[in-house]
Amino acid sequence: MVEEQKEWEIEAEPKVCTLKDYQGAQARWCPGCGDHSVLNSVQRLARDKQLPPEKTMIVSGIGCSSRFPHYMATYGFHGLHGRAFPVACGIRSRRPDLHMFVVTGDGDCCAIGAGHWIHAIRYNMDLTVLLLDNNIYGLTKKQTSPTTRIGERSNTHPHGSPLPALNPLSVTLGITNASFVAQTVDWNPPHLYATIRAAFEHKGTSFVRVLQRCPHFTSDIFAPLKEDFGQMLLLTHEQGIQLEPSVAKLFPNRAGHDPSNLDEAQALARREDVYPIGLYYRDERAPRYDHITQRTMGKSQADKLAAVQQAIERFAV
Amino acid sequence: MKAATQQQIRTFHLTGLGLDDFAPNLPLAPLPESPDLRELYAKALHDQRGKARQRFVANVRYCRDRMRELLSLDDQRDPAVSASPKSIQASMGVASSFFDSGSLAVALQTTSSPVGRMNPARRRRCETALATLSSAVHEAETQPEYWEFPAADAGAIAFCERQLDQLATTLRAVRVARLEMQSAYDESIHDDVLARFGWESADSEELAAMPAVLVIDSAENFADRSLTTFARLLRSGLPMQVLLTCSPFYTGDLAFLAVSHREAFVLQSSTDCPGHLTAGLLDMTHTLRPALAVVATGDTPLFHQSHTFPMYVYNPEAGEDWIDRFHLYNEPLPEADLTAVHVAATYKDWQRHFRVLPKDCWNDEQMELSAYLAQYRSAPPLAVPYLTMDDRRAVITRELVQIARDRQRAWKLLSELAEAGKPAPPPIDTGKIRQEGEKEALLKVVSMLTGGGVALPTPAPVTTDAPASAPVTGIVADPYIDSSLCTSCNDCMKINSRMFLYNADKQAYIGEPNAGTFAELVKAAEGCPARCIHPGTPRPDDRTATPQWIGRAAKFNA
Repeated sequence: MVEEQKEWEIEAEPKVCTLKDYQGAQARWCPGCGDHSVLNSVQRLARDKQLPPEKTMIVSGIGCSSRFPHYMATYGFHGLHGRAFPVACGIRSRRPDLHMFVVTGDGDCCAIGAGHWIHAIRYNMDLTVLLLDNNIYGLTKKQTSPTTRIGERSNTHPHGSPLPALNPLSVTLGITNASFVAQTVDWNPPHLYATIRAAFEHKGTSFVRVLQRCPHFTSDIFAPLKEDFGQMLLLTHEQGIQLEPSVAKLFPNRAGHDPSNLDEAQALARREDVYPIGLYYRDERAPRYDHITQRTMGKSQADKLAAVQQAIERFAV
Repeated sequence: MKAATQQQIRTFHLTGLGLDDFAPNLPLAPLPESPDLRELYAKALHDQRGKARQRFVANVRYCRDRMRELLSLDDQRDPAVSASPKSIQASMGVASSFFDSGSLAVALQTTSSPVGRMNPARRRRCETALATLSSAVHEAETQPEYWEFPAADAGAIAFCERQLDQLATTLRAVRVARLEMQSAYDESIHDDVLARFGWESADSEELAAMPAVLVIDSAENFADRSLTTFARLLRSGLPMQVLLTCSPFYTGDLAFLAVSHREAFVLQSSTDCPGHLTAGLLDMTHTLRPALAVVATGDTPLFHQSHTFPMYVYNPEAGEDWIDRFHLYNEPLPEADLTAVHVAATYKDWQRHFRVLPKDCWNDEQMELSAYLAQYRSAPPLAVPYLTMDDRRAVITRELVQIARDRQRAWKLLSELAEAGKPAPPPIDTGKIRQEGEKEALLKVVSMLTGGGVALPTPAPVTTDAPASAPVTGIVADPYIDSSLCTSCNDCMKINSRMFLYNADKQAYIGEPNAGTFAELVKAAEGCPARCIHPGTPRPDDRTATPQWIGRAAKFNA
């Protein structure tokens, strides 16, 4: 047999990734679904930042939006319902080298995963969190989710949802140590892209709520916003999301908002007359838990093994 | 210098002898040297087949590595190997310090049965494939890009056949490996299929990966030595290539002989026209059928301009029709009536065919070459042909005149062939041209006035069932998409996947506006969540351009 030669192996040249290099399986969301737009923006961001696919990680829970990792040709973890955050925090606590996105939905994050949501925001590990909020459980065919508006009919509440909707923005802003909170819409790709980019560039947990159309079950909810950009309020500031002037012009209502002002951010989050979109709040100095978990205690492999051995021996019979 | 008699001039014309006092006084150069075409050929070959070869070798290597893995996996399933203390220790990593791997091995070896091992036939097949693939990889490393032979003898053909057999063996092993990788090898089907697998079953990419077999020789030698095997070779379909060099005055027409075999690639070209030669060699190295190139060593374009050495390509892969296959290179003459004699007059080697006569030797029996050739039908005219050079005459031997005549006739035949099958040019309708010109001018003016954004419609054909499309009277605005606003939601693609395409950012644009109807454009615009589709106004010939659709489109054009 011929001897193995190393130069036969594929040479590793620095590779320039194109959009194709991030495109995984064919997306099976409905045509017209807002998730396509988010997927495209994340893929473009990955390409523009040239994130190595093998160093990029998408973590999700369960739901329509949580099918996201399958459609990215990167690493991914399609977790359990509501458990996108703990999985992501677990990975981040040991892997400072990865580029991490958490994709979750209103049911996944704000209902069954709400406990994890609160603590993940407090941990402020370096994660880009995309909450794809379509105000409904879509995958299981139209049940009321925490963000479904009052009076909205669904299979679980045929006479309309009886309670006011949970506001993911005011909740997140209320969590201690929140460091980045923004809102965007899926039907304006330039704003969506700019917001996800700003979130990705922020070091810490960046929480982006994406108002996302479900063409099948909640097509009427965001239709008025889509038709009339006057129902949205574009937040502008030199520290905020930067948009091309031609795109900003699409929004007739614009307001300056300093993203370091938490009180004003809370007030904006609670507004019900318009949907403010843009950066609500950012705090670059918020402490990060991953800085602590990634610090080792100076123990060697053998020390650790010995410690484990000692612990096991306590239970020896 | 004494004057030459008529008899002496006639004798010179017929025999080339005598008149030694009248040496030609011409600007003379030696004939160009035979060029080394190897380098040019090797470059063309590398361009055409290098990539295919790399891919092939990568594929063979891949299959070899997978076969190796498969066999070592099978080895692992042998309890004597997998349940050895050493492999148990390796599989447990750091945790192995907690266990006694020796006693574990004993326990595992006594309980485990040899399940899941390959059956011996499969194992043998994999081992054979691995051995073949390994040696193929080794050979691919040492082989040159082409094997060179000095003559197209039986030895060269046999060598080519051996190479092809070897390729077929490798390809069989590749196919076995591919099937085994997927555990898809079915002995009842594949044994038989693979037994019948020969090089003819290989695809063109695989054939291109084999080093070319090249015969390189001079045309004269080749005609002497290899003509019988040449005919066999041309008919064989073997991917052999023949590259012959010749003088530009070569009259053998070997290339034309090869054209008559119909299915071989033929190139006749000259070094004085590098563009034609390079393109021809690229085509030649691309083809996988028998190929012949006859390359002359010209150093001036006069050779092909005077039709002394016609250049052409006959490529059976270019199409089914003669007109697609045969291309004669025809550069217009700088002067009329240039012949091989004119070109020969400038080379030292042809000196003996010319004698320059002073005025006092001129007589009525001498005739200008072009007139001479024009009158030359079945028999030569009773005259001595000459070339006029300033105020002198250079008489020419019959031998050279015959060459010139032969070349003229060959060219005539070739150019007639090149015209064969070409459609006759349509009669020119001046009225229509004027009409179209006026229309075009009008379009340009309108486009200038409107900033280039719109185009004037071509007048709508009057059809009786066309709707009374009220607003379609003026200017057609093309449909467009604000691609940067597209949300990539696939909605429009569902309506028409040819009219709507994605760009490099995976955002939609109008690919082929004519691939769908106006109604589809409006439907897509209405469904578009980003409202970035603008349907414009319908084409005049669009049957869906009803007032309803135009009305629905209006708000997307605002």
